[in-house]
Amino acid sequence: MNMFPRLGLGLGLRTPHFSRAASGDCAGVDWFEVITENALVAGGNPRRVLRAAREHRPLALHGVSLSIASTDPLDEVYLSRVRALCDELEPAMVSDHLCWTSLGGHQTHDLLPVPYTREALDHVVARVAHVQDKLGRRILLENPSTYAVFAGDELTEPAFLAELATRADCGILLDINNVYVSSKNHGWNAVDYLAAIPAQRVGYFHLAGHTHDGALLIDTHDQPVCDDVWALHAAALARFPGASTLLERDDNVPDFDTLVAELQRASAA
Amino acid sequence: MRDDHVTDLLGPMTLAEQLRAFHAVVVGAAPPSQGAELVRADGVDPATRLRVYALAYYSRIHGVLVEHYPKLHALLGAEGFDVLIRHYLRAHPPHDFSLREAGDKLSKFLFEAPPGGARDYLHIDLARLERARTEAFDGPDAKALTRDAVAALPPEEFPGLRLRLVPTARFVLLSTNADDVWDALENDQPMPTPRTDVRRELLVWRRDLTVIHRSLEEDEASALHRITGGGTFANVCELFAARADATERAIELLLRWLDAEILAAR
Repeated sequence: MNMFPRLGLGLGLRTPHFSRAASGDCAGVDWFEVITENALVAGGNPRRVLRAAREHRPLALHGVSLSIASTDPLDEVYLSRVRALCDELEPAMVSDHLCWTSLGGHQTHDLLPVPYTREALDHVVARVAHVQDKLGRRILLENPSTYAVFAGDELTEPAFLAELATRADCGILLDINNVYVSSKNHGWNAVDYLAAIPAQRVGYFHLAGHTHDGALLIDTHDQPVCDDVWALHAAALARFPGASTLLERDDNVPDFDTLVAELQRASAA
Repeated sequence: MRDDHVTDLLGPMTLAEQLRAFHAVVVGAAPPSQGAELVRADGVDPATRLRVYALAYYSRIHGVLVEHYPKLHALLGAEGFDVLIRHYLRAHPPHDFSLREAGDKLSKFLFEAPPGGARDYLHIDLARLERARTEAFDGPDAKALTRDAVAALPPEEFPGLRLRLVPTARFVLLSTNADDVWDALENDQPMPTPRTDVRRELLVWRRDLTVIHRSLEEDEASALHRITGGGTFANVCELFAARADATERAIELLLRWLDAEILAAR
């Protein structure tokens, strides 16, 4: 049994679609995911939109700055602010990425890959426990798109993620496009990847588009979801039947109705 | 990266060592080729793999700074802005979890260590104005003080009345006509001749969801500074004591501020 709420079909809420979300005129979208850091502002339009949107649909918070695998101390001020935001918006789920973004206080604002070693696993397990204590809730961690894996890795990515989720008692946000992109970039088997993930830990899926850049696929979120990723999503739905689905688009963003139409393909899978 | 013989002696790299070596490549402190032994090839040159991260680091922050400093970007051109940001990021790497803060020291950098060495006060002023506008954009909400609320006050309370500016209000002191340049770029008008013989104070604030800036008259600026310093309405009126129309001027400014929603509700 999945341990997270079944929310249905969701959309990553971005600025061009603020007015639709705030008005409640968003048939076909069951919930919205909001980038946590974009909501961690004092006021203005973003906060106003979120307060209005949550009157119509459940919200989930999706962070990009937790830096869970960094060897820097966790940012307690950031955690306190996320906790306050959770208290205000009461999100259905709260997530971030299995990655690190800062080192030595230097923020890269990029989702950098984690060495999949036993040392890193112990480190991240302890930090997830601290974060969950601080936020007073179970979080979900997303598998990132990766373009490099460390030579010293001792575990595969899905094995690392599975053991992390079990030991830290956290959830998994399974990004289907990222599974596909990383599998292509490193020669992994995407279906084997899904099989290694514990079913009850997956709260929801991300879907997005990517681009080809020479020998590598890049997770650009600027294209529609490709057919191969839709096929992998269908396989994921069969393996993780309780999980919700969320469509992301960050660049080359089409109008709201076009995205909603694309999202509906997830229900037909 | 450690040499092979060091690894043989000390064992595999620790997590901290791996992150430090990777981070150096991402932020440009080491070339991607230096990370060749850090990551697996798996059919693709490791330097190519690492270059994706180095490029993403720069392009993400550069993109946000273009959004936050659109007029400076337009004034410098894409190439000039790119040179500026590359120098800036080396001097002031991002320190805050929010990308909103990535450009918070750009005007300071332009003042202290401009690329090429020549300080350009128009660039500095434009950066300060654009930063103030960014801060006002999503600064704290506040209800504005209204004419009706002021009219409802008993007259005897006016002298001791302590006004407050809305929390998004910021003063920007210029030594150039950067605001004229901003206006020209905003409205696609011919660029004014740059001037560096100006002393002009702007107020930036957000009215509902719209960020506004305008230049302040000298006595108006003094009055607003007196308000932010905690002065009463009587203290503000003292500024105009030498004028024959002192009361009229104080009321004129008060009504202007109320209509522009510069003052916060009590």
